[in-house]
Amino acid sequence: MSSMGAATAVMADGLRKVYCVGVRKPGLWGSVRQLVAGETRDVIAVDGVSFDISQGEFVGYIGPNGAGKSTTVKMLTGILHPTSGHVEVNGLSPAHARQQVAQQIGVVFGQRTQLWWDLPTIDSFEILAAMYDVAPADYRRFMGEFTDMLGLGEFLDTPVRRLSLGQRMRADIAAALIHAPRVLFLDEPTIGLDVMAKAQVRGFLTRVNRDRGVTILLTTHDMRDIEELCERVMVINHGKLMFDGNLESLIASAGLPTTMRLRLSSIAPGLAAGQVLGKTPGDAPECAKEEALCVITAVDYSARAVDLAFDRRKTSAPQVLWAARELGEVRDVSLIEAGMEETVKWLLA
Amino acid sequence: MTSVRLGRAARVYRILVSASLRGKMQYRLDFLGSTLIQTLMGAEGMLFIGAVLWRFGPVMGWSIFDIAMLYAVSRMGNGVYMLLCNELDRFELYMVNGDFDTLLIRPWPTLFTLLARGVGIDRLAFLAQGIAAAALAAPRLVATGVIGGWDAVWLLASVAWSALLYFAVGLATAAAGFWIVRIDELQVFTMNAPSTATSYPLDIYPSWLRWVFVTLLPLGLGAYVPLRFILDKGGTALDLLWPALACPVAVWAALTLWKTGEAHYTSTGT
Repeated sequence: MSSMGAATAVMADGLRKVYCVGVRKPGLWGSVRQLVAGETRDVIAVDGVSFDISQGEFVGYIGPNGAGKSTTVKMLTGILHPTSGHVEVNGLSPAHARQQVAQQIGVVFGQRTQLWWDLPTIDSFEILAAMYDVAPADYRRFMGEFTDMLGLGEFLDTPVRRLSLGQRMRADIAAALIHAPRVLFLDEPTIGLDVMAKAQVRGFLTRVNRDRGVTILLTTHDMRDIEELCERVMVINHGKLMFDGNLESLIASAGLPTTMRLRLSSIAPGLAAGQVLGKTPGDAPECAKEEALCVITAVDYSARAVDLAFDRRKTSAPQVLWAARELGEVRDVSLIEAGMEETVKWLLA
Repeated sequence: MTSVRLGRAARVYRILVSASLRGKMQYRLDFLGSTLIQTLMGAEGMLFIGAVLWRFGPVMGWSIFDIAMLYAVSRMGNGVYMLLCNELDRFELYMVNGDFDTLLIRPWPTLFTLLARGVGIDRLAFLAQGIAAAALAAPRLVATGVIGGWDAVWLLASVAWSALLYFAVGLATAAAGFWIVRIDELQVFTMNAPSTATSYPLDIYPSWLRWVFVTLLPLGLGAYVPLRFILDKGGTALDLLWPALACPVAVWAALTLWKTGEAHYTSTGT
């Protein structure tokens, strides 16, 4: 959902979280020394992160394990208090007005259910409806819509502990939306799910964002989640925000090479990865007048396939094809652009 | 808090307690076994003391029936605390597993939702032991003129003070978990041992330990101090008032510590 000019839903300004942890020395004697000396050190989990998220935006928040994603989400939801900096959700500080903020947000932790473990799934919904003071008519409407959208009907009477991971995650997401929050925080909601379950969750989140205008901040390690759901992505590493923008600009800023995969009628012996092709000869046609340059990145003799990497900003695909003529007769050509996965790897390297 | 908010709180509390009970009932054998063990635990202590007193007579002026009444009041206070505040006793799990997160994302005070999540129905044995001891001691104490008139009211008030002081100490101990995470051993020191010790007359302990049990770990203040006067074992009428003055201060201090601790909560990694 486009959100240009919309009011701010979530704001972080110079957000910082420092944990004080005990310094552990190896061995029993080290443990005793640590116990007596009480030596500690500061671990900076989030280091001066600032951003604004407009109402209705769907933002991906990605980074490696331990980068500070979950800590940021916990500060935004009022679970943790920032060491310094400022957070606002719908104009309220989660640290100082936690209960009011909780009434306006939904939170899903992929690795920790918020449902009542031993009770039928429907009971969790009824308990949460009471906790959030959801009117009976609104609750009935919610159950009608969400039971259909998320396929909850098949397991509403099943105790939560007996649900599959996919069922539990659908129930958790529904539970987070029972009070119609304006902002939804999702911390790895697709972790451990199979392909079908992921697709179902993604489809549902798209509808929640598009049809209901719910602002969503999503942390994930699955780049397909980001590609399919998010217009905007923020990348965090070592507690610092490395990138904040749309997907296209993230991929463009990386400038990663494009791969051209060729299937040949036959491959000349001696081809190897790292070999440079395409120093343009003088008799090159018009389409390859500039120096064409590409590098062989992979050779598969059994499939008679060769991968060539080239920089789209300097070289066009026809130029690469021209340069590749020396490899043999080309039967098939395909282009593979660098995706989110490669781009993020490059950014975090 | 408005009456509407209070009404909502009562409804949410009832629903959460009901959910907690239904959850426990899913494991019938565990529930019954736990209840049986809780019944046996503690009762053996009173039986031992009873046997000693029966054989050797009063201890420092306290007869077996006096001690039974003190035990009853202390046990009922503990029983009310265990019934309503059972989750404080299990609070270490919330810190170690990071389950406290799920309380912080709800639009209610964390202490409210914490207590409502786990009513200690399987700890009713504590309350039952106290009532049984009172039923045993009261007829004899009335017959011998030790208690009478308004004493029943003061005894009930002592149960309430005792429960409140258990709550204050239990809450402060749980709040320490926000800093030190693991509190099981601390609970032995601040709750379990003092609970057993203050079920009997403090006169049998050295003066410094008596002082500890009516100030730093004031579980003795709710039962022993007022009962000392009610059962004519010394003290003054002021002993009936000290708990009334101390309870609000102790509860306020524990709540303040809890509130401060919340801001220090560090959660767990994911």
